[in-house]
Amino acid sequence: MEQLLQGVFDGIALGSRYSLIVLGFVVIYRATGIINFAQGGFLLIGAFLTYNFSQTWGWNFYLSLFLSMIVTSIIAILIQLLLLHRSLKEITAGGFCLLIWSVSFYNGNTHLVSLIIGLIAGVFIYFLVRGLEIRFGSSQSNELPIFGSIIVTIGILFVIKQVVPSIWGFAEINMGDPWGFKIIKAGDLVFTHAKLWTIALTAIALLGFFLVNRYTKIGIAMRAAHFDHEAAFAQGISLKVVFATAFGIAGAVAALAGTVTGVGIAQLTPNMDLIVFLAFPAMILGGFDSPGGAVIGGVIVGIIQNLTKVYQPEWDLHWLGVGFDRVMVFIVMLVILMIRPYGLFGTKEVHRV
Amino acid sequence: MEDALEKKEKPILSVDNLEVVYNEVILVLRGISMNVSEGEIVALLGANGAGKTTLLRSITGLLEIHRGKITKGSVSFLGEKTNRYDPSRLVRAGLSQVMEGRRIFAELTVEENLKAGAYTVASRQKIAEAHDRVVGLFPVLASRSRSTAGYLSGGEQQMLAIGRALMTSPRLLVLDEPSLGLAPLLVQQIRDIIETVNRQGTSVLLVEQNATMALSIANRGYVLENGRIVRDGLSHELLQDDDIKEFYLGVGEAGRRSFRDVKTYRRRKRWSA
Ligand SMILES: Nc1ncnc2c1ncn2[C@@H]1O[C@H](COP(=O)(O)OP(=O)(O)OP(=O)(O)O)[C@@H](O)[C@H]1O
Ligand SMILES: [Mg+2]
Repeated sequence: MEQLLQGVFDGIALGSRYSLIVLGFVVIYRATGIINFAQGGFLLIGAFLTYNFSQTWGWNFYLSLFLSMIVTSIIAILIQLLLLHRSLKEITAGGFCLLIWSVSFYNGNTHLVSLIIGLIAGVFIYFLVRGLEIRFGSSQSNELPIFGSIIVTIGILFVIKQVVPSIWGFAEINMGDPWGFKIIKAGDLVFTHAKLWTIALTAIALLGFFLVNRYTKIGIAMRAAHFDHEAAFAQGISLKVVFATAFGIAGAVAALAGTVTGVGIAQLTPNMDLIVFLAFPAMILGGFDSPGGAVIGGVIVGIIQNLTKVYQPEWDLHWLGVGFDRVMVFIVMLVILMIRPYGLFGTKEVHRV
Repeated sequence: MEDALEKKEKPILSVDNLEVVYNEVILVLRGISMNVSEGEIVALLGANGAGKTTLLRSITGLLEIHRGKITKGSVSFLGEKTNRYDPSRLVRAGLSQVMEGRRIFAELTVEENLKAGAYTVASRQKIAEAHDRVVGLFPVLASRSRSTAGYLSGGEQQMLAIGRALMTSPRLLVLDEPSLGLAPLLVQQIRDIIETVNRQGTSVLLVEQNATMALSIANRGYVLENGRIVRDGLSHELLQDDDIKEFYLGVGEAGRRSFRDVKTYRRRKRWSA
């Protein structure tokens, strides 16, 4: 029994990271219809910024985390404003610009040179595209150019994955350990400070998000725009503000997720964004457009993964292989998808005709 | 008299020789001129596909997201040329709309729908005042303020859509077929509300296929066919017009309804679409 409870607790701590990551995806998906593959990049930026503030500059950890969330949020908004704009032309041009920039990285040019080449090429192509009025993407204009946008987010991820190590290096970095090995004991149960804080910080961030989403003007505007973006637009709701806010929120939660993932013994690496792929089942479980589902899906996946890890050796299932806990998550996801194709909480509209 | 003259010169909304094209090729409006003066209710009649909604989209800034474009002419609101304004700017200037098909935010509560309508209003006091007025017009919205809007009846949803549009206390309210799909009693109710809103000082542009209803409250009307204004005049003139009687009121020459009349009415409607 203790073992089970312990497994569940540790699973919740693991799952809170997934919840944060998935919330970032869901918020952007709801506002724009884009699956933002750059989310992993935001996570990297956030984690390394926290490292930079707290280790390199020696600031208080919580202050560093807070600043990192804000700065990552601003970076995410800038990326959206520059590259993931509503209009087709901008997206086309932004996409080419990114493509050329990332290609020049791979050619081994020094970064300044590639930056300049990328920018010149991008500006050139931007005007070329505007001039020719090239259009691609969805044929119905009241839908967003989803496909183009998704490709652009992948481009952004590539670029971030080049830029981050070019600033902080490729090696594993110790991010410091504000919580150490302190624990709280309750009977046989062990609650490490690190896990308690992970859960607490996540809970605070999620609570903040849900309050904003539920009660503030921008929260109502975001939900309205998600339900019917033309009607929201017609009421004077600025879709630009809604888009930017969604990216801002996604940036902030990504920074928090990155920080709690990389802190302590975990270490920080430029490949840390791969955790995003482990969060995908959580998103599919919770449903793509449900913030509440994101949180619950994340926690469920965390618990499943951790319990598998705990009981696999116990029940002599070594032959299933190391890392089977991660596979298990995908198995559960497949089963649930068969029963509920829209995920556990994926919403379909409330209808009354 | 002088007043009336001045109004004529300075309409709150004026559309001048407007041409609108979808997808760069489909010409839908072919040179439309019309206007709404301060304090008026103006009806815009026309069969399915005549271009009524398109005209409203050009007025309210929604053309672009439908890949429509003004290729000639202009739209002016309060004396300012607004061809390229987005809805947000127009709403702030005092132009509010009730879209075709109600388009309420069904997942949000009634209260949240109203708040969403007041998005562009910064002053809390103004929001509160508008809210009081809306609730005064539609008491049912107050009693159901916490219900999910999607569970309201069709009539209540239409009231919510109008209430939401009134949250900005607009100078001009544009409605696209508010009576569509409602039972006769509810149509009457909506009609009365529009009249009240107008008496409280909001000018109204009312798009309707229900010509009887629209002309019964409008000062003037325009008839749109195939993207052209084919007739305009004071409401009582239009109500006397034989063609309009036949096409839009479903009344034959002898003044009585018959199955055959209704059938021709339908057929004519399809031709003009
Ligand atoms: N987004 C669009 N793209 C291309 N054509 C369109 C678009 N919207 C409308 N049209 C066409 O423009 C014409 C006018 O349509 P519109 O919706 O303005 O008519 P309407 O008078 O409002 O009709 P209804 O009474 O059915 O609402 C129709 O032929 C329609 O097919
Ligand atoms: Mg229409």
